[in-house]
Amino acid sequence: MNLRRLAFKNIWQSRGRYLAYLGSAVFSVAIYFLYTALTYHPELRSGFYGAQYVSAATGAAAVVIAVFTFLFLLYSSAAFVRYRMKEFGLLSLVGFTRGQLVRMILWENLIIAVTALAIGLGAGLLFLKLFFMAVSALLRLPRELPLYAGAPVWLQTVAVFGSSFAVVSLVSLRGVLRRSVVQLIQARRQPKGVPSYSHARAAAGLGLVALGYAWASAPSPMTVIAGVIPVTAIVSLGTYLLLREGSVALLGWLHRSKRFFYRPRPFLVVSQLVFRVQENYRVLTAVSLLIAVILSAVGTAYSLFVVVADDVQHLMPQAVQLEREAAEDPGEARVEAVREILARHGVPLAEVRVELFHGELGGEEVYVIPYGVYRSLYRPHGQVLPLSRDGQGIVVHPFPGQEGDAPPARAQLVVGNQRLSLDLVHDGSGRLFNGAVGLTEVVVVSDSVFQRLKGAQPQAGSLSLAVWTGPGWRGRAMEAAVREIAERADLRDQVTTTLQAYHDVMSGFGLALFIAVFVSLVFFAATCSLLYFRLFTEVDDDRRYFGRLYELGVDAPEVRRLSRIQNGVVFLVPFAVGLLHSTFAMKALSTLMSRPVLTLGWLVAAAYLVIYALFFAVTDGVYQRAVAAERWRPAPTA
Amino acid sequence: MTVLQTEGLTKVYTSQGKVATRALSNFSLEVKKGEFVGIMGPSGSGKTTLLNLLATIDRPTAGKVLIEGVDTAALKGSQLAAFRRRKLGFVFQDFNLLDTLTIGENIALPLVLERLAPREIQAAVQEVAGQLGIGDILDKYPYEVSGGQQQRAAAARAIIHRPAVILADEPTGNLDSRAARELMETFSHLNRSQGATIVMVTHDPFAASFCRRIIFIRDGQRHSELHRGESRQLFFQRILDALSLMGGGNGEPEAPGL
Repeated sequence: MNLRRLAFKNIWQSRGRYLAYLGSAVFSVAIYFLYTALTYHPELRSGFYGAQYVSAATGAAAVVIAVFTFLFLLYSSAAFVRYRMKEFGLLSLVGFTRGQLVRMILWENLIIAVTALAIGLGAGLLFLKLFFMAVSALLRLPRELPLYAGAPVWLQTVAVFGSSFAVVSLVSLRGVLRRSVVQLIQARRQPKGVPSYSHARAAAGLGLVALGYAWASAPSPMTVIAGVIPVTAIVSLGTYLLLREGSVALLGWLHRSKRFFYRPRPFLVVSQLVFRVQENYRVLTAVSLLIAVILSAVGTAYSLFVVVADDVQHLMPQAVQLEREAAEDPGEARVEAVREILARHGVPLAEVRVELFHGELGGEEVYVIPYGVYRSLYRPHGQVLPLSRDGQGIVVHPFPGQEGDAPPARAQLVVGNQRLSLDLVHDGSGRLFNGAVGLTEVVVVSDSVFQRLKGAQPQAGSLSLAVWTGPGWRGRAMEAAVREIAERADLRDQVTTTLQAYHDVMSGFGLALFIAVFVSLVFFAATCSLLYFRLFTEVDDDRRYFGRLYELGVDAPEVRRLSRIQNGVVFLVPFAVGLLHSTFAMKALSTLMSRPVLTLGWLVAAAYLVIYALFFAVTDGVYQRAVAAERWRPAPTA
Repeated sequence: MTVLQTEGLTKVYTSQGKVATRALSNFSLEVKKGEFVGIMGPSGSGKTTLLNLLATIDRPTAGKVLIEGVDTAALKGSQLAAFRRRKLGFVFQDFNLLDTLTIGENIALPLVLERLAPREIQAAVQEVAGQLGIGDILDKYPYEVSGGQQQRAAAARAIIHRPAVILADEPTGNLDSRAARELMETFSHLNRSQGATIVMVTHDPFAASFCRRIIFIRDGQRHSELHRGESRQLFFQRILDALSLMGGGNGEPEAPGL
């Protein structure tokens, strides 16, 4: 058997251990390939208007993936080498030269790298079409992006991951070569020991996390923005200290409390956790922080998506709005045309004709409309205020919350040559009109006052709108109608619709969410892989342990339950910690966006918890099979 | 009173459904309370198979194992586990201590599984550990103590719950001669002073010379039997003679330190 065959055999025999590692690497390669294909896509670079930023965004995401994957490979490979030190030592003992050892390890790494790249590129190619379809739909491109996977895409993917794998295997080789044979052989069986507990470190950890949480909960947006980087650093360090000292303290306490500990399950589970606390707290810290980052990032992208979608309705409160010059014939023809289109598609909206007078209120430019029109216009969060007498006016503010501390209760309204004094009520429940028209304050007067003003108002000083108003701004009928309006050259510059604005905004933020989700999935795959590896490094020890328990009279189902409890702790604790961290991140985001987004964050967390639980079920299943009763005692050789 | 009895015990292993190997054939054995029985035989003679069957961690192809009159084949799953927990104590060649428990906790394990009160458990651990001379290492982990100490801890774990039978599988196999002698003296002492019933599989004639009776097994069948007289030295010589008479390539080195 030559070295290459030996390398193949080594990998095949410990394939269970390599599975998650390989899976995670494959996933990274595939996603990187897809993003790079988008980055280099010639049509995105030149063809579609407004899509140029897509290349920049996916290019940046690809860099994040590459850097993260490199770190993940580095960590995993160090863990693999640590696990196999004894094997390398034994090979040296039976006469492997250093050169042979180096060649064998390089062969192994080459095989893994080539496999990961081949499967990753294959998977990327397989999903390329689907990916382009999704992106085209998200960006609402006029036609689907043609398939593209040019040479630069392949070259860059292979170069980036190939060099990552190369650097990682050189680093792991260094770890092997630096040790003497006896150090290699003894590396893994060194006693694990329980780390010492220190009140000072525990207090520091608690203090750091509390400080980070407090900073993130600060009421001022400026404070929150200034805190993004320091809080991340503080909380990361705090989590490390707190998980380390916390697990040592808690387990030590459980271990010492005789009444709790001296019962079958606590006895076996707690003692295992105590014994492995050294390895566990490191992995738990890394996984907690990764989960915190994932949940916060996707939570933020999702919140932006939802909030911006909501904002569109404030910016464009009217489903369809047509601007025209007053008493102009082509204008009337356009109104007819829109009305016909909407009716033909069966869109259930109410038509309102609006005449807006230019005026001045306390020296500020305003539009003036009658109460009847005000009452009939739909706004998503609008509240129609009552107008009880002619001497009253309602001021509709385009920027709610920015009316000033004490909006005037009485002011002079000037329209043309008329001036009248009004008692004012203020309406901050949203704009009345779409686009630029909506940016000006609107004064609502009673219908009779408006009629009186009409005589004084020169025609040139007024603006005329046709508005189709109501809550039904989206839906299939509306889609069709909006598309038809957009195709009419005589209409599209005069008409604004909520739906069109929504689509414009969504294609930007939808893509952001899409990229965030995919990048986070790469992180998530690596996170899961870390956990998988944590369980499988010691699967041989565990199998022996469970076999001994069985011999001592613990039945097989109970052994399974015990191992499931331990695995559950290793999975659940970091998710809980990550969720707590991300909750405070979402709290900070609520401050920045000045509206609550905590529930949105939890919704994202719930979605990830489902995937996480599935992964737990699969991993635990594989683990249970690896430590299963059939393998407790090798059958005697005949 | 008969504590352990087998009737026509047979075990056939089939590998890949093709070749059948008869590891144990129609083997009968009766052990009375307070006996210290050794089972000897060359490698591959069926010793370990027999012990696995006695330990109820393997099922016979035919025949029965009765422990205190209970047919172990009639017990299922968790019943069997509970039965094993209460009636049997184990000492293995590789000690089989749990790495993640301290020596004291390892010894306590059978009583913890029986859900005894913490105070009772600790008192029992102290008592047994005192008897076996390991009272000062109870808080250490197995990897921190010597092989001899580990094996005495395993012996302590095997007797703490006063089982019907203690089953020992090559208990001296991984010990140096001094630790082996100490362990066998401990067994002998437990047997004489507490009336503990011990069945020990070994191929070490020195260890076997501490037994009261030795059953020789060969090719899965009962071959012969020796009873100890007064002198252990003489018994040791008779064991060596019996082994060389039986042949079977007993190539293992003799235990020194006699």
